[in-house]
Formats: sequence, structure tokens, C-alpha cells
Amino acid sequence: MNYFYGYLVAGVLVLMIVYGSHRISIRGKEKNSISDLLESMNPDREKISYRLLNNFVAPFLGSILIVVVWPVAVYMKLRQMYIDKYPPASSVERVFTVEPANLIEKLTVVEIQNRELVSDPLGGAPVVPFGHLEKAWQKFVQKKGENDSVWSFSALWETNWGRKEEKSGYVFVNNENQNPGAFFLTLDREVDSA
Amino acid sequence: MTAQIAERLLYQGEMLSMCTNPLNDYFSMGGDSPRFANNCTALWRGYVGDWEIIDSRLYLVGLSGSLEDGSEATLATVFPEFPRRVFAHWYSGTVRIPQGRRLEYVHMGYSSKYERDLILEIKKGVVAAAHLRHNGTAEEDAPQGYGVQAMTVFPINEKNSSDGGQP
Repeated sequence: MNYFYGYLVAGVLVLMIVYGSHRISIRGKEKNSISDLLESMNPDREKISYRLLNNFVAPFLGSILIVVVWPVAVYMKLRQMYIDKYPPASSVERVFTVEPANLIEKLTVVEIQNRELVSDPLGGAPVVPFGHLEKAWQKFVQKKGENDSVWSFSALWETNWGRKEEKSGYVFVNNENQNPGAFFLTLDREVDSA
Repeated sequence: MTAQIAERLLYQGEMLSMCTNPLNDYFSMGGDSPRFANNCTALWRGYVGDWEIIDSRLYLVGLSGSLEDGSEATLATVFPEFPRRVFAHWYSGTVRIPQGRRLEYVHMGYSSKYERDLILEIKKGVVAAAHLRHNGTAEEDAPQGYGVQAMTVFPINEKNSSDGGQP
């Protein structure tokens, strides 16, 4: 019998840890999450029966379940922590980076700005390099390091979802290790979308 | 993701539904993006742009939407110095204009299929080519033209009332 009580006490401790962990994990999250929005659209939320079920009965039954089968809860929590720390490669969203093989031509900032001058006969764009994106370009250029040169690049890229894209633009290349770094896109189009 | 409300394009004197969002490319390339209110499942981007092709060039000539602070978004909100017409020089890619009757309704993005797609190939804001793609023949009673069948509109704040149908 003592073992049984010990088992339940351990269950209560697990419940407290799970609850505390949950409270910490939701702290600071945006209130307008999808679940909050969906709940706000639920017309039943004003009913006392809904509130009783959602705020008391369901948490109570969940708590009982954790106390009774706490080893399962511990296993699931540890498994989730492991997945969070070591996510499987397939679940990580690939992020585009410029590879050395994508580099085309080393250029000066002045050369780039000359070739990217925008003009429009109807006056729909400022007559400056990169037109409406001139501010974004200036922001990019300001990040150029002393050991960086600027190259044009073009790359074919496939997202996790199999979408093939053509990307081109300009990229900083470190003169010491020749590694491409931050880039500025001038073309980002889906390939064979038509 | 719910089927999305299309952009509007005035092309060769005809107002058409355009299932492409060139302004998204502007924002992703570093253009300043205001905080559009995302209160409708059929309009996650938060705005509808009015486009026009003049002399083979793609222009943004209007914008309708709401900002998170409740104020109205217009073309001047995104391009304060070009409140009437903005040349979409940043956009390269295809523009899809569905035409004819609906072959298949897909409640996601711009995935619904129509009898024809007018495809415009755009290079740096200039129309480089145009071709018509035939996708099949729809039944006689199939709906004509692009449309969204259902959406949910969330209240922006407590002062506003909710509207809409099923999600």
C-alpha cells in the first residue's frame, strides 16, 4: 500500500512540475494567437456550461490522468524536450544562403548603383538606384565591412515544400575566407510557376 | 489556409482578378511594410491592391486595407511620395489572371482552377510576354470568374462587431 501512496505522491509532484512548466512556457506569448482568436469566435464561450467544462472539468480530468499515469507524462515531456533540442532535419525550415558557386562578378558599389538605376516615363518611381527600394539598399550597404567586397549572384533554390525559386542580387563576400554573407535580393521568383 | 481574395488588375480596358501579389515581393525585398490588420481569413495579407498595365508596364494604382491601429491603409501609406501611381520595377515573375468558368474550387490560397489562365511574364515591372493557358472545360452551370466561397472575419477590437461565414 505504501508503494501505491508513494506512486500517487510522485504523480502529484509530476503534475506540479508539468503545470509550472506550462505556466512558464505560455508567459509572454501573444494574446492574439490562433487558438485565442478561434476561441473568441466561439459563440458558446459565454455559456456557463462551456466555462465549467473548459476551465474546470477538463483541467481536473487532465490532472487526475497525469497523477495516475505520470510515467507516461514524464516520458512525453522528456521526448518533447529532446525534440526541441535536437529537431529532426526534415522539420527544420531551410534558410537560403548564397554559396560560393552562386557568385558571378565582383563589383563596386558605384558600378552596382549605375546598373540598377530605375526610371519610369510616367514618374511612378524615384530616379535613383533600386527605385522604391533605394532605402533598403542604403541600409544594406551600410553593413558592408572593411574586409568585404560586393559580388553579384544568381542561385536556384528549393524550399522544404519543393517550391523552386530563382534568386539573384548582390552579396558581401569576405576577402579573407571568400565566404558569401549578407545579401540583397533583386530577383526572387518561382521557377516554372506558369 | 482559406482561399484568398484576389488583387485587381485593369488590363486592356477590362477589370480582372489577379492571383499574384507583387507587393509581397516589395516587402520581402526590404521595402517598408506597414502593420496591416489581419482580421479576415480570406485576406491574410491585409490589403487588396489595384494594378494597371500601361504601355506594358505594371503599376500599383491603389490599395485598400486596414492597419492594426484601425486606420485606413491607402497607396500613400506604403508609398507616401507616390500616392497616385507606383511602377512595380521590383517585380519579376509571372502574373496569373484566371478566366472563364471554375473547374475546381480549392479552399486554399489561389489554388482554385479555372478554364483559362492568362499568364503575363513580367521582368523588372515590364510585361515581356503574355500567353493563354487552357486548363479544360467546366460544366455549364459552373460559376463564372474568380471568387472566394467562405471566410471568417475576426473582430479588430471589442468596439467592432464580427461578420462573416464559416471558416
